[in-house]
Amino acid sequence: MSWWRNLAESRRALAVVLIAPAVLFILLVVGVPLVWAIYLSLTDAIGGSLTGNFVGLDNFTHAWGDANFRKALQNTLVFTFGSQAIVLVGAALLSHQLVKEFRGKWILRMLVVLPWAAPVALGTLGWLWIFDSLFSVINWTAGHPIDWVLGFVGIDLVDPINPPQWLGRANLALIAVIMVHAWRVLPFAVVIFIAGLASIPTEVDDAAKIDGADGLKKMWWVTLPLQLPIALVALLFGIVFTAADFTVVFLLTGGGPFNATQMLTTWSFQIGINSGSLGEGAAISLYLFPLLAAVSIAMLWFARRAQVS
Amino acid sequence: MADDSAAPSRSEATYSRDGVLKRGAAAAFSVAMFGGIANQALGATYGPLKFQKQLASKQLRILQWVHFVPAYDKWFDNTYIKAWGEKNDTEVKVDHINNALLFSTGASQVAAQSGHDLFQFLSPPSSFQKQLLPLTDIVQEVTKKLGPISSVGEKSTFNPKTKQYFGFADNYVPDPAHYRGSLFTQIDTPVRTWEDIRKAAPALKALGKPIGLGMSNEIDSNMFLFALLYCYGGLLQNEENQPIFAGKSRKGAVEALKLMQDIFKQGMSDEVFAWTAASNNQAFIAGRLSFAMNAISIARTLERVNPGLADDTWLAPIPRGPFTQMGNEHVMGVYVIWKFAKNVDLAKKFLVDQQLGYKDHFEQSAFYNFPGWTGAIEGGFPAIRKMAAADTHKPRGKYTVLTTIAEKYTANVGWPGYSNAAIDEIFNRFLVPQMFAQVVQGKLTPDEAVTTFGKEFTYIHRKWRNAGLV
Repeated sequence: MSWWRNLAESRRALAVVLIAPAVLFILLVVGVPLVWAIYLSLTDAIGGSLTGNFVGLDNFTHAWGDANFRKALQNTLVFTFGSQAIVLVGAALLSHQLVKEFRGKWILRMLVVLPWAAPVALGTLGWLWIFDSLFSVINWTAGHPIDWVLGFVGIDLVDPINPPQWLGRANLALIAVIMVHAWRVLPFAVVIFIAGLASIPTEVDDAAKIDGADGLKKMWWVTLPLQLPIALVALLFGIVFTAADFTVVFLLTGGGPFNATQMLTTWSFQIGINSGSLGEGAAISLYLFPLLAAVSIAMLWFARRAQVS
Repeated sequence: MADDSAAPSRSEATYSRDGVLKRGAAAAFSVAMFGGIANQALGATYGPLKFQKQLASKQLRILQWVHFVPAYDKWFDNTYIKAWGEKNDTEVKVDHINNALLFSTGASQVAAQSGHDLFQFLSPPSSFQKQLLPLTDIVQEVTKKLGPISSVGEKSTFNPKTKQYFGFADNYVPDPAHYRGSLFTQIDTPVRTWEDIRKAAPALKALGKPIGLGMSNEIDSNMFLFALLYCYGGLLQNEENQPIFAGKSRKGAVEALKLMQDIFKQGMSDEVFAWTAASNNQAFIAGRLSFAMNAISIARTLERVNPGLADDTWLAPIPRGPFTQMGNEHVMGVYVIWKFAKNVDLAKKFLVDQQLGYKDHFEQSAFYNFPGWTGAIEGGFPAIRKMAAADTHKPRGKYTVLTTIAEKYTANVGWPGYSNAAIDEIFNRFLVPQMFAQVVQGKLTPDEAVTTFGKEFTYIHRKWRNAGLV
């Protein structure tokens, strides 16, 4: 058994043994599907089979030639950066309030975190009802209590025969999916921002006060620069979560109306699964890969920098 | 006063960390080692798990949709499969999922090469053919006993290229027009042609009861809009399954698109772009709509929840167009057996037995499911008409109309050709509703839409032809 003891006592060997399960897990769960997707994207594999003939880059060029694909790519960028802009502003404002002491702070914190803690499908189905074509809570509220008040000054917000269709018009539907996704990701960013704020040493605050920095000045010149690395980590995580998200769009609009809210994820599903063009579906999903790889590298770089500083 | 002698001593009542771990490990070991003999262990207390006085020796797993008539699922799960299981010494397990998830679930079972013994789709799953066992033998067996398969069943499950039935056309559901009789009487317009509907649209909207024809990514919109194209001659393919949409069918397709443009502008609202499969039911039942195309789930639900409105809800065949009067089945129940299914013989027997006794299914589904073989109800359509006429709900005779619709005005998706893999893709990608929605919202002119989508349809046909399935 001496070889076993030698192995256990060798730091190098032990490190390999300890890290091996994690590496194996990642290889199986991420590596294998990725390699398989690359393989499928180079073949003409169709639904009902898991192999196909080699077609080179045909799937990539055919996808690029499709206006729906280009729209999905554009939507993915708008969806990602639009929702992240809302998340960043919202998280900055909320986190600054939530680090202060006030009555009911913990209840408010819990409520803020709730959208992140709730199952995504459940939350999104709730929004589906809020935006429903017939029973929309927004339309009902605007059409009853608010219109009742505005009716006195002759303003009619909601036409009862043709109320706003939040998921039925292209622009409204895109705004709806962005808002719902921002609602869902916001708590994650708030938690990271709060952690960032809490990590700023009190001495820095005191020094800023002595130097006469207060309120907005302190926030702009002291808090924000110190918070920037961790905020960037939250942003990069948010970009990955959003660009790769499938659930919100799939449940709310299914990519409609007429593909106006298709993202690369849902379009890849539409082509690869619903159309049975597995090869092309895989190619579409791989268009996301360079973007997500770049963001992931940036994320690791910033995380390391934040750690070192 | 409590009896203290029964209380544990302090040492018994509290556990150290080690004690908890030891007990936990022992429990886990026991479950891992002896969990498999739970039946026997239970047997000591409750007796052996019985199935017709003994353990069922076989198992059959079925996946199908959540039926729009909930009472049908209740009967199917609690009465029908139990009786069949007892007779065949089989434990039958049925999983129900939302109709919108059937296709993707099928795809994931194929990817895993594992799944249910019987899988029911609601539209012909032609693109899966390479993973399906041909069911020609049981189709022939049932045909021998019941007479010919319905035309809609035949064209939904037979591949003329391979000369095989890739699925078993268990049932189809006629797709009638539902309309508010009093409103159409008030505006003095019949429900006979699409021109009638165009004329009625502004008057109905003015009454606050718009027309509800879906143009969304869901099954009802898909079925209806395919059918509207038939009525105007905007056929996607001919009888030989050649794509003709942007060629011979162009004129009819453009006319159908213009008609929807007009009806939408004058008599509908934006809600139809955001609909799910249940939305037109909900809107009609809420009293908002004056006209909708749907299976009888609207009429049947109204009979339960709003008898007054049910009495005013009439059924009619799809309105006539300048080319023809032809609707689609609303739902085409097609069972398939995967090549990797474990209990093939049992699954086949289940299908044959079910079809031979389909009268019960027709009745339990409240006339929603029509049998794939009309002869499954002894006497065929005359007998079905008699059963429907006996329904006492008002307006009397509405279900007699349903029988006429099933007999004369119900075609397969892809009519006059077969429901092949190309049609399956066009259907599952909701390309037809998307085409109509783009025209109606002014994103494309009818001419541009026919050109753009015609090219896409031709590409899809070529792809599946190359794959050897069309």
